[in-house]
Amino acid sequence: MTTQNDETHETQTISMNFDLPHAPAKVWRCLTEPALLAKWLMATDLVPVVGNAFTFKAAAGPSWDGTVNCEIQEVEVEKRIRYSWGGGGLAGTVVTWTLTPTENGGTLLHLEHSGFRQDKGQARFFEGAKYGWQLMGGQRLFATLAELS
Amino acid sequence: MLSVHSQDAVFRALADPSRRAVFEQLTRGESAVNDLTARFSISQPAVSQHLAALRKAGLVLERREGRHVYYRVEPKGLRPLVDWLTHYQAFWTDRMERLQALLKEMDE
Repeated sequence: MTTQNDETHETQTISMNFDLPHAPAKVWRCLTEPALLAKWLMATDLVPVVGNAFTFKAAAGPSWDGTVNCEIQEVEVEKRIRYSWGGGGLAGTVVTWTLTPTENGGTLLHLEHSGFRQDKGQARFFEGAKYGWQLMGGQRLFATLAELS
Repeated sequence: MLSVHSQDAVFRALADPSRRAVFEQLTRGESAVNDLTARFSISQPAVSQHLAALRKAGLVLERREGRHVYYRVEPKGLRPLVDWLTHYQAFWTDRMERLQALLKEMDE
């Protein structure tokens, strides 16, 4: 994970690398075909075309409807796909997948999820808390935390 | 920097319903072990054990006054649960494992 500056705000980025023994064409399918995406990420209506607005859908819960709103920003077939990622109180983040072929016929897959703002505004703080509690199923506890604020 | 590990520790500490009840009670104000024991139908050693676990996870602070020990919530301890970055780090780690399993499955 790294921290970087953009023009106006300090933001944080999640950065992960995976050395996969699978060809880029196959990895690309898993990143762009809804039927395959549903198997490992979430149900989606993604179409890998710049400007396509689509959603990822997770199970809905009491504090988040489970929808992630996205828009494709860049597509370079079998090399790179980038889309905006927002929902559940999170806004302005971007997910970028970069595929680089390796010598043994595999793929170096790089994931970057950028744009996490560092401001700790109260509203955002509790949006995050709600999401956390939803993961845990602890709604009552969230209510008491809200009282603490 | 927050780690997935610290998030796990907090989740684990709060996974137990009676421990969570003790923590919730403390969010209403500082309490001594006796106050907590009186309020819940669990033994004093059990309450002490819950408090120790919550303290270890960074969720509760203690204050000694004479023979008494008082416990209160450490709000900063909840930070690992409210940080988007931490959520998504855990999320992507989990999903990448699934992706790798799927890629392998596609070969079969």
